Amino acid sequence: MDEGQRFQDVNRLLVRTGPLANNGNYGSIFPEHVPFEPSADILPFLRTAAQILVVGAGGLGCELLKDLALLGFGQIEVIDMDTIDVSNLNRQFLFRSKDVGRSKSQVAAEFVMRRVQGVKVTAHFCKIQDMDASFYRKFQIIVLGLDSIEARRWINSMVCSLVTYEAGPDGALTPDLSSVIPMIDGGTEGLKGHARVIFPRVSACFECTLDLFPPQVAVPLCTIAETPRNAAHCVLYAHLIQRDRDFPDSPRPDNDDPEYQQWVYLKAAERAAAFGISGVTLTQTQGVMKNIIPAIASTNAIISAMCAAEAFKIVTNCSAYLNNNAMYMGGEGLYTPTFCYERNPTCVACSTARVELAVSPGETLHALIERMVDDARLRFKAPSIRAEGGLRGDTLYMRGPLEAATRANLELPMRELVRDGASLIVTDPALPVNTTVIVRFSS
Amino acid sequence: MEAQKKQRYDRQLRMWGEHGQEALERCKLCLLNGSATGTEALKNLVLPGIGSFTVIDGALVTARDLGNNFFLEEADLGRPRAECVTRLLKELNEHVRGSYVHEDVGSLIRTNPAFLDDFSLVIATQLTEPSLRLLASACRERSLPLVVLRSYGLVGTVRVAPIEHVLVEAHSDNTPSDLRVVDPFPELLAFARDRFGHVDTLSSSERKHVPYVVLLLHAVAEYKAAHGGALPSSYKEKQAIKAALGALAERWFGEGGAADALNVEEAKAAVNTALSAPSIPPSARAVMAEAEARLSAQKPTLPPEPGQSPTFVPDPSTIRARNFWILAAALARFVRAEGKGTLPLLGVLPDMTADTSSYVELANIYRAKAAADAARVHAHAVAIAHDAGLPDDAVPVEQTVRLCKNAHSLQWLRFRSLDEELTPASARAAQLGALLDEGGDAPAAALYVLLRAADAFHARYNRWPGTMDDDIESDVPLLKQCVGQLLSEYRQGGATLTIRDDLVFEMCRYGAAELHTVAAIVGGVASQEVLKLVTGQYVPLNNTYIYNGLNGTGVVAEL
Repeated sequence: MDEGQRFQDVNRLLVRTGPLANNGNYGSIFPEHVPFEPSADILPFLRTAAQILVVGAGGLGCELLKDLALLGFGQIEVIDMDTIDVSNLNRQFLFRSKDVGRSKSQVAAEFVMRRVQGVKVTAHFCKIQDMDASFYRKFQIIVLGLDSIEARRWINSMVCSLVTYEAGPDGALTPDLSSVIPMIDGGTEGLKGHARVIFPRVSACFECTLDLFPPQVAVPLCTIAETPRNAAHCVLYAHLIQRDRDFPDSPRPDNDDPEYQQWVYLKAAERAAAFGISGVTLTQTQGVMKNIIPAIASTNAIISAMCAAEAFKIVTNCSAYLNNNAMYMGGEGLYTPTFCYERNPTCVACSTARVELAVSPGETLHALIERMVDDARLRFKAPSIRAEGGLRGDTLYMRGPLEAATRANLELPMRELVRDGASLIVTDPALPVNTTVIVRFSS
Repeated sequence: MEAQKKQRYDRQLRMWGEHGQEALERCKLCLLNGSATGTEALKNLVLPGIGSFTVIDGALVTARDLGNNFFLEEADLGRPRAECVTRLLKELNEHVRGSYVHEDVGSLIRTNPAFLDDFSLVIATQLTEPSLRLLASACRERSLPLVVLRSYGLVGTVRVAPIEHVLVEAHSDNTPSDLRVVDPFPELLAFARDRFGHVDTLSSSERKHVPYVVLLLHAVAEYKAAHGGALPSSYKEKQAIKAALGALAERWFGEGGAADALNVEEAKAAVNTALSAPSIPPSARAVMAEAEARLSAQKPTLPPEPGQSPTFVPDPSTIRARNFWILAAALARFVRAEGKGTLPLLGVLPDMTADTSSYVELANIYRAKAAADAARVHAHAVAIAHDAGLPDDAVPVEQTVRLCKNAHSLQWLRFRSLDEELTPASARAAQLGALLDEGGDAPAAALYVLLRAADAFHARYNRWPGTMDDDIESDVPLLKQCVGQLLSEYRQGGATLTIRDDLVFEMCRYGAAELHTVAAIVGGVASQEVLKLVTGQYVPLNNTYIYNGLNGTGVVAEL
């Protein structure tokens, strides 16, 4: 069948122009305005050449694959480490009961290729961290359908690291725009969501606005152990304390394991009864253990389609882009504000400025590492640290095989390890690239 | 609910509960037109388990449909679109019944609007203005909620058009604090006195576990004693309470020793909200006033029970509305009598630093008082039902309890009709004018006017602007004429609007394209609104959303 005929709706925007075709904000994102040039070659480019990556094949991912395939994108890749669960079926519409337990990315890819003729969807059944820069570099654009801050942070840092700089006539460094891979981030919760357009190292990136997502405040362990007051405290006791006490020698089972959930539920219910606390149910237990976020198809559909529409406009340049964040709040009436996030000049991921940390000379390396884990900007998980020109060698602390050899440094004060102004090179699983932190001794 | 369904619907049951799901499963939905816009809306309703749907569409599947509609496949080319999309939509959820009618929507509306009698909600997509107006008045005659959506080029609109809508559970992000610290009920006072009357004799660690509610009660009582019974209400007076709490902490823990007394900090943080006298929001007052007015006027809001009239079987949503008004009237009686001007107690104690036994006891005191209040409301409801000739169990107790838990957020929404929106004399021209000043290069209000102009173009030339492939530009002046005529209509309504020529050109550029993403966005928005209308939970959009794909923005307006 003639592709032009099949995609005639999409093609209206690609073979025709007008006074408003990308007359919007393009010039406000990049220094120079690039006018749209209508052409019959754009659709074939979308079909055969443009490479687009969808990160996540869940609620947003399923929608994104459908949307992109029906916008004419012919070469799509999708990456997801998850398998299909029964509770996905109320919204992840590419999956059926018979698919439960199979790879999300593989089933989704097969479905879309079966339904939409001529589209090629390549599935990757793995973690985003299993892929390196050479994989991510090959895409024109990346669309995120993720449900965690951690994963967004990692991929954001990866895509920022792919940008190369070039020196202008005055010696000033500017990002080489051909190395900038635009990234579109969607997210939903209940009836709310957001769609966001990121040009790494050009406009605000995910890390620039990390403080929008403060780390969750955990219930203090002493409350859980000593003064439980509600159903959640009872569940957390069974899950975090009682299990390890009752089965000290076996590893903690997976949170998704229904048998384990049942065990936690029963123990929590016992504890609640002993204290006269009400409200422990299996549904509530699962909610607390897994931090379940309510989700429906409608919201995923809205947000994904907004993201896909932006991807289409960015790749084809047929109309102005969202600049740069649209909220959708459907709970109480409907509010749809749009606003522009600004770059953070000291962003860990996208600025050339280096992070400075005030350190008391007597502070131990161990204390400093704890502080890096808690720091709202850094939020490291398990840092390994080297120092350029370290007083006792460059390696301060390493995880893995070198841990034992470097452990003694943990209790040393920083003044015995580095000089004021030293650069610490931090490797951490939260980020795909090293972070340089400058030590500033405070008197 | 069976375990298998519970698992499948877990993520949505956490939003609207099993009672919301039950309402959804009773809904009989009608979709007019099965192009991408309609199937994208329907998909999001079949997945969560709407009772049944019927697709009405007279079209045959074309190549163009295969390019933008996900619920069609290659082999469907040339076959009835209603039949094909129904087959693939049913595949999404075996619990949903689906059927189709292969008939032209426009002529069905003209010749046989009685087909609407079979449904409890209608979604209309991609209709022209004349068909839409006929449909809207037919729906209104039947009190049938209507949701209208449209995808056109980079523009999409959703119009929510029931006559009215009532809701109990708004699921607001801001749950009101209702601790009754300023006017404590006897059981609460007794608790504070009996458990913490000798607060100064407690050990330091016990003091750190006195619930902050008790600290506030203590501080307020002292304030009242010192001020001739007056309550602290102004900002300054509340600051005085905070200072008193600080002084108490110092007395207990010594200077600086209160730093780790979390309960004192929690009490200070709660001063601003907990010390406000419980008030009734205007929206809830309006609901109660309307309920009593309907009751005294015996408006026909109280349909008979199924058993009483052999020919009349009210729709579940009709019974929900009936019970809403009975309960709202009962609530009004409670506020006047037992409540002494306040709503029933919410009965929810937020988590706070406290030892287990005093927290649990305190929580139970609030819960018991809330249950007692709800029982009073229920007694009023039974009396009202009785007077209306309904059986005593017409209103189930759990509905009363739910209403009492949400008494602050009761809402009664009225929606403007499409006739009011589209008739020049009642159109909201001034509102459109104000919206035209927003949105930079492509104000959403202009896109709305242009969609109406495209309809006028279609009525005149029997095709859409920009659909003659070789020649877009000759349609520009023709569409401009249609715009001009519309603007003169709006001028009668007292507003002078202008629509820029470049926007008219852009509209012709679209050539009535139905883009999949615009269809998915308006389909998603419409399905959210249908879920709100059907479950009677969350607050629906009143009344129009416009998606502006030219720059990815959106606008909400009451038109």
